[in-house]
Amino acid sequence: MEVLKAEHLCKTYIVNKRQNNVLRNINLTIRENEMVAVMGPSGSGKTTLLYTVSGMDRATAGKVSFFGRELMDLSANQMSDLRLKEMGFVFQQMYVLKNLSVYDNIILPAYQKAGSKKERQAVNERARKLMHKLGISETADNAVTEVSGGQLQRACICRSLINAPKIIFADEPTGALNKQNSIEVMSEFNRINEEGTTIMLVTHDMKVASRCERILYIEDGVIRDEMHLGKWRDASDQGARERSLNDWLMKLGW
Amino acid sequence: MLFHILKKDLQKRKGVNVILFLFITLATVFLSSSVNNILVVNNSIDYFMEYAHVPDVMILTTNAQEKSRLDAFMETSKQDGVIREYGYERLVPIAEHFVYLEKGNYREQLNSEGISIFLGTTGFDFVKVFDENGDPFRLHQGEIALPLSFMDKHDLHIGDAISINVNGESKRFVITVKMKDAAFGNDFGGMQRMILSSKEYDAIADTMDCLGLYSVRTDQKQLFQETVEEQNFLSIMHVVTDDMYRMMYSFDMMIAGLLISIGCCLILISMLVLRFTLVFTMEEQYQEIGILKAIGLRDLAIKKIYLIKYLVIVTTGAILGMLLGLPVSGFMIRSVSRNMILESSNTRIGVHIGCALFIILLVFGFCYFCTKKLNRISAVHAIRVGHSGERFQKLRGFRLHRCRHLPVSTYLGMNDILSHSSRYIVLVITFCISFILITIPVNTLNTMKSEEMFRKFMLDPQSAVYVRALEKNKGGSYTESQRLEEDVEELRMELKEKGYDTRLSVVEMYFISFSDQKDGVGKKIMTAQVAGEHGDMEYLDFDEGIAPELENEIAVSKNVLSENGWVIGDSIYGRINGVERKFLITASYTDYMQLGNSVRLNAKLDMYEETLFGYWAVMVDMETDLSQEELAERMNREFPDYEWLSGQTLLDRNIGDVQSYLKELLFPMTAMLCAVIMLITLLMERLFITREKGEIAMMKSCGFTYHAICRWQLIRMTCVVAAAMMISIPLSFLSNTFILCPIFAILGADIVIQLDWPQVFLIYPAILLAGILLATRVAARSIRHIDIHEMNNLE
Repeated sequence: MEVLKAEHLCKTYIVNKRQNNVLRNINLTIRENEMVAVMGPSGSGKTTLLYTVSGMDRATAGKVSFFGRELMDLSANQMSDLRLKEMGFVFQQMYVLKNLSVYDNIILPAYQKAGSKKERQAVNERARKLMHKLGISETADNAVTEVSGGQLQRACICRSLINAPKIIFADEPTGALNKQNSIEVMSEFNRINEEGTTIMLVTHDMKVASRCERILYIEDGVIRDEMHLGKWRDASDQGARERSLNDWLMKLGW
Repeated sequence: MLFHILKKDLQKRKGVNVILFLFITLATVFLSSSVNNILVVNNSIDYFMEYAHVPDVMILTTNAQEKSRLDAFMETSKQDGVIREYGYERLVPIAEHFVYLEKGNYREQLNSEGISIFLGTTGFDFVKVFDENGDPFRLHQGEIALPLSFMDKHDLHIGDAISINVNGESKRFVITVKMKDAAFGNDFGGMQRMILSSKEYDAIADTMDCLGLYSVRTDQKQLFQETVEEQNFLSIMHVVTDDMYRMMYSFDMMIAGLLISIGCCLILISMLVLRFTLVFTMEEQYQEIGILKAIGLRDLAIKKIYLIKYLVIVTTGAILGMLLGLPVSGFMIRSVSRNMILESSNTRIGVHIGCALFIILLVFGFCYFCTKKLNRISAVHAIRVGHSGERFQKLRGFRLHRCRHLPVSTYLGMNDILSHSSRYIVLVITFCISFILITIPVNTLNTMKSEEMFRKFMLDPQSAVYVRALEKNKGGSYTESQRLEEDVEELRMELKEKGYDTRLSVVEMYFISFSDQKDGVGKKIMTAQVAGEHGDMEYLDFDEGIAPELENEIAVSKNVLSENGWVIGDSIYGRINGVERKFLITASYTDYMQLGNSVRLNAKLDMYEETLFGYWAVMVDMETDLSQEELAERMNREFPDYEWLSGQTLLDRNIGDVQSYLKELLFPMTAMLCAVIMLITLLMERLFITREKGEIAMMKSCGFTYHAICRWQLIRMTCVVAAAMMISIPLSFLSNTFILCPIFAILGADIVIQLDWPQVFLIYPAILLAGILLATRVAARSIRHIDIHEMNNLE
């Protein structure tokens, strides 16, 4: 089933009367339970693609549909509703509310969605389970300054998952993390994907991309090529996946 | 790097810079023009008094019976060197109902609103009068000169006319001169003069009962006053020193004083805002500061970046304010010069420059003080964006997961206040100041309407209506109580004939000498006695003791008690009906009669031989469903020979209609305070949103709608207002105690400041809250422009 479909997508910025075509006639389909990475050189338009197909930014031309619903036709409030209930976002910078504990940051969007006491009780149960799964249960009552970058990024992943979204958009989710933390975070993404959540992420880290099922290579606003690595199972075939990806990227001039 | 930071800051903080600039400009305008005004008025009072030959002491006497004795006394005092010179003139008192104002074809009876009107002429040696330009003037037959304030108040112009009934004959005078009268030209004095040509004046004065006016020049005012009191002159009505006139002109400085307070508040708010923005900017630019420190720049060199910017803003604002202050100063001086002759009407540029320099130095010095924070930041600390590396941070506020029902926006708003209360201190202080400022006129108005206020003026608030001008058609003012009481009784009968069963009371006033020693030298004290229904004075408040019940009992005001060292239980002696009588002090009180210097006698004591100084309104008690205003209107229709008033109108007349001034002041003051707090809120809210851009973007990415985020901001501001109100309530009580009570005490009595709780703690806070929320909502519009896709670029 198609989760996301972009047709003839164009995005143009006009800065100082100069036109900059960041995305040019992009056609893209992401299916249910896929884990797609977008790679490309700096300034190629990969982040813009992520934000445009997720509805966070408006395309200049073209169409984006999410489960058949045209995103361009939705009002700001409908988009907010969609983001609250069906989408999750993870960013490179770990944005959190600094005067809230790690746990409160995680449940924040869920409490916004859930009004009744019963619903909020259910949210608390789900948050505890998620934190346990992502190994950050012990940080629940900590201030956000008291935990490591990896723990905080996992808390952000928990927050993106708290409302059980259908898709997660991640923009350089390991960009601010060290190697060990990056592995931990990617393992979580693989596990989430295994459980059925569709993931689209932007990265320029080959190790991160090699854990994805499909890799799109974007250059000058155009998807030049794509590669299917298949589902990531465990660390045993990581080397082979990385070598295949490397060869493919070399051919594209990476 | 230096210019980069400066340029970036000037561009990014346009709103803050503009508001700071505006505040500094306004503060300089208010401060410089008001200080100039106060200096001009202060210097001119002495000049005007000297120019107009206002004597050091004026003595108003009732009739000519004692004139030869008084003249002899003056001569002796002159020979003894107690006085330098003296003069005597006649003043003709004119009842307001004998005076008609003619404006074109329109003719109306004068309503002097409690001010006594006298006729005079230009030839007096003392208390001279001048025309608008400060020059002496001459009047021809049929011409009249009026004080400027009188003409303005009654909307009279040159060419209009005044008709005066003299001994049954109407005389018409055309107004030809607007005059400045140092002693009788000010509303606050309670007496005003109309000036006629000397020929016409003499003709009138010769046929009417005149008052005598002794004008005395002396270097020993105190000694002279004491000597006058020792003489026990029965005909002396009033002794006034020039200090009273000086004080009256000081009221012209009140508006200037008010503007100075507003200017000071603006400077205070500017400094608070400046501190907040400065600290905020430094925190935001920690990394740049860190780099500058790391490459070896000294603290002062870095501080210069911020100091130069604020020096530019403060200096430009102060210079512009100084320039704008010059015409404002000119306007204020012109306004003052309408009532008095100024020594110099030039605006003193030096004063304006001095005020501007003072503001620059004060604000800039404070700015330098605020940058001290920079000394404490090390290069590493700054590069780490304010984090020392210490990760432990105690979480303040309360936890979201414990709030099972609270909407998230409400939680966030409340938690912000509890977590970072110091961040909102500027707003809390500004709101507190605004709230307290608004409570002052509101509480004053409510106090002035209170029943206690009525009683402090010896009026019974429960009376159905009040009557004045009893003598209107009965041949002039009363000098003895018997005639007054007969007329009161006549009024009662007249009312009864028309079906009104009334009980009447009247407060009679005398000036009696009291001393604590038999045959001692006493001081004349205003003595009140209530004749009629309320003779027992039960409706009046007594602070200690019990109301006088016997004819040898007396209640004494606290001012008089403390001045003379008397206490309840003491015996004092008073000369009444020519006989010295012994009185027992049974009670003490405070009231506003004669500025709190009075005594009260029981009605049983017959004052048949005493000269009645005057009477206060007649209190009318009867069964009625009508309010005092409605009944007064009805009685004025049915009994037009008398003047029927509600208690409030009576009070307003007596205290110079302060109420209507305050009512007029209330709206512009509320609007101005609202505008100031809205500006501050707008400014601060924009700074908060700038600081929270990342968090807002994150919330948007999580699905929070624009309205939900706005709600968070609005609830937070509501919490700030609520906190400010909670702090303001005890502070407003303090302002009542330390500002309003002393002001009312100047009039002579302690009074309980009346608080209309819904008005003070609900309606006005609600108005301010509405303004604050509107400003927050306007500032929160910038939330729309925070795009989630810019999140990774925000840092």
